[in-house]
Amino acid sequence: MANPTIFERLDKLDRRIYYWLIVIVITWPLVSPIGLPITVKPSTRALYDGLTAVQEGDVVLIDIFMSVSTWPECMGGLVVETNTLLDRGARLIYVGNSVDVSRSWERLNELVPRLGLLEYGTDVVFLGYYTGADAAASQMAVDMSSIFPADHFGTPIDDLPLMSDANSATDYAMVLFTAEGEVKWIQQWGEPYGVPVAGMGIAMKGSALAPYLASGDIFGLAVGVRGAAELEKLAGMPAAATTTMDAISSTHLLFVILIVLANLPIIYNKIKGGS
Amino acid sequence: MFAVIIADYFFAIASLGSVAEVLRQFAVVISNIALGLGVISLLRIHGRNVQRRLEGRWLYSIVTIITFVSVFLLGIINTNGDQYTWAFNHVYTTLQQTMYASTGFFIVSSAYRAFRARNIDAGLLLIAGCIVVFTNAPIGEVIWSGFPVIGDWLLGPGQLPGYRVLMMIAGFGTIVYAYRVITGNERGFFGGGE
Amino acid sequence: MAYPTELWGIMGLWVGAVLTVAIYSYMLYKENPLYRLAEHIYIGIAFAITAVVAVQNTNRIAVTPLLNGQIVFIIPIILGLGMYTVFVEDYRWISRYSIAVLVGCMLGVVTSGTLIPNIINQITSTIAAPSGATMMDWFNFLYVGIGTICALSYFLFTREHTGVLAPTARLGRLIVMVALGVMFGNTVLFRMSMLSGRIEYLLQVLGLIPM
Repeated sequence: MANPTIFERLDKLDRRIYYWLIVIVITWPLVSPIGLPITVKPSTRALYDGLTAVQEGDVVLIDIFMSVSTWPECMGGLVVETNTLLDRGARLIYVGNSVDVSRSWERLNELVPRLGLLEYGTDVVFLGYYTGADAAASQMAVDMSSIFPADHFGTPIDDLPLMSDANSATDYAMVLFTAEGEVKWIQQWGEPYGVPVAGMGIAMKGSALAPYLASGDIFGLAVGVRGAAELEKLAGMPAAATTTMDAISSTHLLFVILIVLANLPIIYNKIKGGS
Repeated sequence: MFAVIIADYFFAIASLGSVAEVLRQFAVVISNIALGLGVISLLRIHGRNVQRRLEGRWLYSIVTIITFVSVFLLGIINTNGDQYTWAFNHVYTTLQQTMYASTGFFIVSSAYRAFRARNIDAGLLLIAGCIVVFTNAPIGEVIWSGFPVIGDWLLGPGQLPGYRVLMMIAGFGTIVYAYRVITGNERGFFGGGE
Repeated sequence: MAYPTELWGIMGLWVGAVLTVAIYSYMLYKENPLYRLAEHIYIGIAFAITAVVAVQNTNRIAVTPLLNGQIVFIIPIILGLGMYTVFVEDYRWISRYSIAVLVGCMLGVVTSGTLIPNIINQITSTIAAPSGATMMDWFNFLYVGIGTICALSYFLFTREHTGVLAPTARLGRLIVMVALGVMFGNTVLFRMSMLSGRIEYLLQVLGLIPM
């Protein structure tokens, strides 16, 4: 039996070798940051420009759709959005379609301490978890209190002064989605009531959201941890997302190297004219 | 229900709107109560494993059931209690993030084992993918200044026709599916049968 | 968030780190009892959290309003509880009414919402010529327009892809491949950022990088 070729040996490589490789290439830039520059995409800039155009007193609805698992992707962007809107004097209402949204709210408060300094019920409200996706969003557009008779902490909605100014879609200056769940806001708030919709999606959503961006159904979009890092750069507050980009660089380089290695036999055979 | 909601969308009739509002609230409440279905299924499966003492499984099923019961009781008694909060913050949060992130290993594995450019279609997919990979990573611009230029085009107009068509087809499919459900031709979600 | 100083906080971090290593031991080493244990703890706690949130939310949006006099909420509560008859063979037919209400409402909302953003706006955006445009804008307009038509022709399954449909369907397929390739590139970013977050957490627990 002929000795296996280098390609056959590479093909049979134990997958644990490249699993450990990926752990090493992630660890190294986290321990020893490089600080490669990040350029900002037009869609992220459009999102940021939309945030900075908010007027004092405007009410903004922020849907924290993300579960704790998408914190690395989206929490950085949510922090920038919150800080930017607070700088503009906006009043914020947070909701969430994930069972662990309360944990995301706590984490946001740890990362944006001035949320805790605001007057709860007047400047900021956390309504909490909701189910029903599109049906809930559609009903919220007509009457928020029917989906949230009380906020996450059990306070009746009538006891929250902010909610008296923000009971239907037309009371809101914009809706910001986070991670996923953007379609219901576009379809139930944006199109019927003309409420501007934007936000940041997980990286996988970048493609699915491109048509909405192109048709104007959303006015801005930051995609994944890259989008969060771009927002941090625009806002002048580099944080976790910016730090992660070095690890993204190293892993992506390794990824492409592995793809090239995997396709070397095919390229080699094509050059040799074989099958 | 379907007809009322659709009619409410197209016609601004106050009484119809009121009925539609009530129906939407009903849907929200029902979907919320239905969250427990998965829990019941889980307990049935793991309870069966324990009952039958399935080799290599039943001990782990006991762990699952004990974890579920203890955390559930802690949460029902006092959601703000120290024990429940600790379990939520340190066990659930960590495990949720870890399980989700483990797909990172699998995509690396698939990059090496499955992504082979055996024909033009696969080659085009891989080339577009690699360019976007280098566009998303800051190192791409360091390697070649053309990556962000081509990548930004791909992320914008480049992918637009493909995804636009997928979206439109999904929209048509939703409408057709709704028609099939209303006319009784689609009964999969009823669990089949008459 | 600083490194915790109280005992339970430190314990929590290290329990999380051990569970993370236990899960990743499957990929980095091989399947082992520690991995299975962590996996089953995850299943149990995830469902427990879901159940707790479901009970709390039901209480907030249905039970409390019902007890405050809104009798109408008895209907969705009964329908919701009726869903659980799916587990009892002889009474499974009751759950079909609950499912019918839910599916009817959801389909109505989704169908009405999908029409304009997903179909009409996309068609409008495709055929609307750019104004005050550069050469690149016109190239993009033609590419998107022709590409959309070709990709649509690829998804025509009621006619064989021969004749004039052959080259357009073939081009359409290639255009869809480009879109899928872009999505693949974005998926890599998504997965790698998740994994980076976990490695970062482990390094923080070990004190190798600041929290």
